[in-house]
Amino acid sequence: MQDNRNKVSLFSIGSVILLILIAAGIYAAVNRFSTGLGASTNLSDEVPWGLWVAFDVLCGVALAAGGFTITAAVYIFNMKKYKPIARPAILTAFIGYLMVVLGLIVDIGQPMRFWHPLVMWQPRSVMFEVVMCISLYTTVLALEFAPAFLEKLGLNALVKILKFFTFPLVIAGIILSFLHQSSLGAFFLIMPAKLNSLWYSPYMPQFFYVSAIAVGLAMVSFEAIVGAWAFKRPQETELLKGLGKGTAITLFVYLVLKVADLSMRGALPLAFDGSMASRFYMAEIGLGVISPMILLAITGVRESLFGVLGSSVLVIGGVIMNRFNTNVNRVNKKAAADLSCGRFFPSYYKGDEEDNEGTRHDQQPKQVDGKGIGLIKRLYVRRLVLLPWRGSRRSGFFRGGRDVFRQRRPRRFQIIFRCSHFSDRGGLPPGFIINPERSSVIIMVMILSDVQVPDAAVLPARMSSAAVGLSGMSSSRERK
Amino acid sequence: MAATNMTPKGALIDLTKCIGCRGCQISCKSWNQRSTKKTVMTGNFTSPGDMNSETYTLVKFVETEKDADVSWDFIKVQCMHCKDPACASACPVGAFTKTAAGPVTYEPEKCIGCRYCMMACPFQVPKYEWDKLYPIVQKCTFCAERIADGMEPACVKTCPPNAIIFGDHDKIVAEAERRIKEHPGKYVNHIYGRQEAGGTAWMYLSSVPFEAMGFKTNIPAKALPDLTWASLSKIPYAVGGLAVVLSAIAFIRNRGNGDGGPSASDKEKEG
Repeated sequence: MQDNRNKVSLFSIGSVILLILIAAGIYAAVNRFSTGLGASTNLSDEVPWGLWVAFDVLCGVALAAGGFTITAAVYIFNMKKYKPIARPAILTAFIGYLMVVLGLIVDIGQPMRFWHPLVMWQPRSVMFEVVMCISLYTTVLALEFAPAFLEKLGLNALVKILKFFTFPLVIAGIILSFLHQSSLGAFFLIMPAKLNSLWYSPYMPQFFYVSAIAVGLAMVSFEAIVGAWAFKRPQETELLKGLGKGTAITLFVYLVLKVADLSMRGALPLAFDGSMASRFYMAEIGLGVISPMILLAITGVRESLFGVLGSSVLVIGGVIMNRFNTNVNRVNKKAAADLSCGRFFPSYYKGDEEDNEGTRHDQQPKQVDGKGIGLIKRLYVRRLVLLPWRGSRRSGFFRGGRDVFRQRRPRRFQIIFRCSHFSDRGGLPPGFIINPERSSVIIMVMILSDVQVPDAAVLPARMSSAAVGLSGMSSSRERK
Repeated sequence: MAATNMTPKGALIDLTKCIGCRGCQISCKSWNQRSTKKTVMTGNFTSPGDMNSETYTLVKFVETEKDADVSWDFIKVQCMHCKDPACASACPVGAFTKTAAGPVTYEPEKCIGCRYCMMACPFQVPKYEWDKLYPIVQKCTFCAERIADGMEPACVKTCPPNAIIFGDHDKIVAEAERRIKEHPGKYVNHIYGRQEAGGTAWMYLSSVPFEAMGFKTNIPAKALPDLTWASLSKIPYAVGGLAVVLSAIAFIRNRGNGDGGPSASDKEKEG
């Protein structure tokens, strides 16, 4: 296994595709932190949640559902034959959840306050519950995967401790998954007037949960097949057969629930009325639910590799369509003509012709406009620095712009990064801040205290701010 | 705040009286220190096109047809200040608070910018600072600090034709009912905001059907947070039930497994 792993080159087709995707993701994140959320995502007040929520969070969490379905099968139901795929499933779920967290941090307006929900509890909020569950479940997944990692390091005592807690961890993982997978559907319960009635249902939490199980199994099959190809391992045909069967049964349950719900609410005719929404709905159910269900019900398809692969892709596509239809496409469609019914298409550059609402915006963030901050603009916008610096409007040399936030106490993230600019240009930065370890400590202090910077950190930070401000001024003059 | 009357306040906008002067819009900007945004011509007098992070309230100019004639109506829109606000229940950090006096207030220093309030609000009131790198949400405050000092909101104070009346919520409702009753045929027999989303502090009277003017009329007449609470309130039972059931199944299915260490054989495989 180890040998096989080493054979995978960094420059195989698969790796190159993944590297391109990673580069695109980093570009998008840098773009978001340098041009602002509106300019980089094309979201607006009419469409507040777009691709990042629909794909990173709704789809990302659903696609990582393989982790809890497989651990449930292996550990709770004692289906031993799935044991070989338990660890890969846990690992992919863990990576998936890390990506969800990262995606959320890019998507929220105040990344530095990502910890607020963990402290400022608001139990009536679905979002609060989802944040808590995702944080806890990511921890559980890390602990579930830790033995594999610790074994390699030879820390067997720790492994033993973790193994002792396997069952509680697995059960906690399943409960947490149940809670937040269904709560992703509960997100939309509060928007009865905004969702198309084909998708809005009081049973959305249940639909999201059942479809997550189906797509979790499909995703595990998909990963098993692709993984075996990539690592040149023998295909686990026997396992795939079982997974296919499980997917088909779950899809059947899902379909029955969906149809029953539609007919109970009297919305069944809507699915056939030929409108755009009904076409999306039929595509989602037909391609993503009915066809893979029928395909996987056939023994011959379950035994063929391409059959399982194709059906899994259909299921995955169906769930992605469902999450997108629920979030991006259909939301707001029923809003009355005058009160904002938005269309959304992700785009980097906003055309002027779209500038028809007061809510649209220029490409440059207003925050960095203003008098006397051209230097900062060069440093922060052009050089794509990633962290907040807005406190400088009040504290530093570069006063300008309005104080919209009414911040009482300025923040000083910017100081550190202002210094890093000089450190990588070979300037003369204050010693204590270019030391990467120390600067990370300061960042930590600021994250923990958010608004209140302890005095000990303030004084040197102020001094360095002054020093760097001066050197910044002089260096800009020198360049001229 | 000493002797302030803390009974829930309400406001009624009589659309038949509005002259579309936009005085409310200006006084709101002035009191709340709001800036402006670049606007473009849309062929409509509404400017800006909708509320935004700098515009807490605005007058919409709506043309409808009435008796084969054009009816030009002016609709002041702002936060409705629901009795049980969807935004407050949606916010994961509790940045929104429904105060006893009626305003739904917002604490920007708590906000993480997740925009769930914007999704949850049936009236699409909370607006986002999309042009900022680190945006927060903005919305009408019902001039909470003015109300606490015993004054009326800035927009009410400004309104030249007295199209907005402000006062204790039940008195406002009674006044709205009185107007409908005493002027048969003048108003549509509906107080918009009385039932919508479980009742709101701001209400409208109109002579043109609300739907024709672009009001959202598909909003349920019950408090929206109840919809998510129906799901969330079951969590303790789900956790307890699942824990018991899963442990029982695990115990039954794994009997006679020896050490019960589920990854024991994983280790062999890995090795």
